[in-house]
Amino acid sequence: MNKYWTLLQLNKEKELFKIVSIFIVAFALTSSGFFWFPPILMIFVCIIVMVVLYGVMVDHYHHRYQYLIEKRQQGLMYSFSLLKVLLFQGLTPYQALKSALDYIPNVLYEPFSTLLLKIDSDKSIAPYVYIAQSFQSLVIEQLFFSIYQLEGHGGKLSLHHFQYIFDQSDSQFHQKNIYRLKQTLQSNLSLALLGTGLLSFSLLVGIIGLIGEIISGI
Amino acid sequence: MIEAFFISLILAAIHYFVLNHLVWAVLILLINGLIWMVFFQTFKTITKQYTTLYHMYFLMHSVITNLAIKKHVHESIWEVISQLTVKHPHLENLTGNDGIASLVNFKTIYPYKLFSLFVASLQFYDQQGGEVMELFDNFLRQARISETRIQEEEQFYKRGLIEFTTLWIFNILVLLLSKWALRYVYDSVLNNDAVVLLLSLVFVWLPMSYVYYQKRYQHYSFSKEQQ
Repeated sequence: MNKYWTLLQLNKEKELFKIVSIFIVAFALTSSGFFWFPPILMIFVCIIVMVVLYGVMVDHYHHRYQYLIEKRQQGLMYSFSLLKVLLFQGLTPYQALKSALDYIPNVLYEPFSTLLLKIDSDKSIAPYVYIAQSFQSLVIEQLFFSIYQLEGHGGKLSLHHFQYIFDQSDSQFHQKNIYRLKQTLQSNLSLALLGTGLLSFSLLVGIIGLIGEIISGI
Repeated sequence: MIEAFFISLILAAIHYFVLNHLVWAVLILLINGLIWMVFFQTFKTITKQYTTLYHMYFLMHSVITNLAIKKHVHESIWEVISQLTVKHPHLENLTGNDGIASLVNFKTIYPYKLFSLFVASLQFYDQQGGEVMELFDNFLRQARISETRIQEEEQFYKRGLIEFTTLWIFNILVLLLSKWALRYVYDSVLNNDAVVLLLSLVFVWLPMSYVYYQKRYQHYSFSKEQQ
């Protein structure tokens, strides 16, 4: 979990306090079973509950991290679309990157500023590769590489080549987003199905109770 | 929030019809009222966001088209703004003597990066000149792509909400039909407090599921990326 706290830039003490509190509450609730059930069984149950809880927490941080990565990728694709507009307005890649700082999502301000700072001291491809790697996407790496190529060998033809690569990648990202949105909306239907389950269960409880009453009456 | 009150009243009436318990029905009315208010507030925010985006795209397209014909920034902006203010008189407060300055004021209602870039591009064109379509062609293309995607997202949202509502309507129908079909045993079933509690929980879960639906939708929606 420590890895995720670092990646998500969370306050470690605060997160540790939260996790320990959850574990204590879960342990207190589970251990109340010691009054009714055999201790060996309850020790086993407690271990299972703690292991499951740990798994759920790791999964929670993993999802948060994945979500952050995806949001950064989405934001970057949007920023590239603005960058493309600036490039087509006749700016050089460096000027476009600098101008784009005013329009990019806040979450990308730091990587873009770092990239500009690194370009100032190193004119090779290294700064682009360094920043591109943090987005964990080969498509994005390719786009940063194209921007670097534009810097060296600008001109209309290269610009159209960049546009082609960007459009392909953008469409790929958009399809991915649409797919995820569709999946979310599909899984949302389970919320209504949960209502169906609750409804059937309540009627079942009533009917079973009634049958029980009839049998005990006989 | 008349919609929230109306839906809560219908659900409380159904609850009373099914369970025949006035106190529970009043409780359901109050809880539902509160939760539906949250739902409709978010619903209005989402729909307003889409409408604002469409207006923004319309404004940008119209200004660029006018600019391509007239080649005069302020005149093109004024023509579009006057067209817009006919439909939306509240925008008049934001308009000034200068066309670009009016668009800068519009940033308060269009807080999107694309709009800021659009205004900056217009300022650039106003100062430096150049070929309109060469300068704005890619911009127009990008705006069209974004607009199509927003429309697609809105469609998903509304279609999903309709499917979700249909499922809930069927749930309520099942409940009403079971009262009718099991009418001889229904009153005896309702003597069980657990049944009353569980069925009331369904009526609390109903509005909560809508709020949760919206929350999850907003989490994955990509229209907010533009802000």
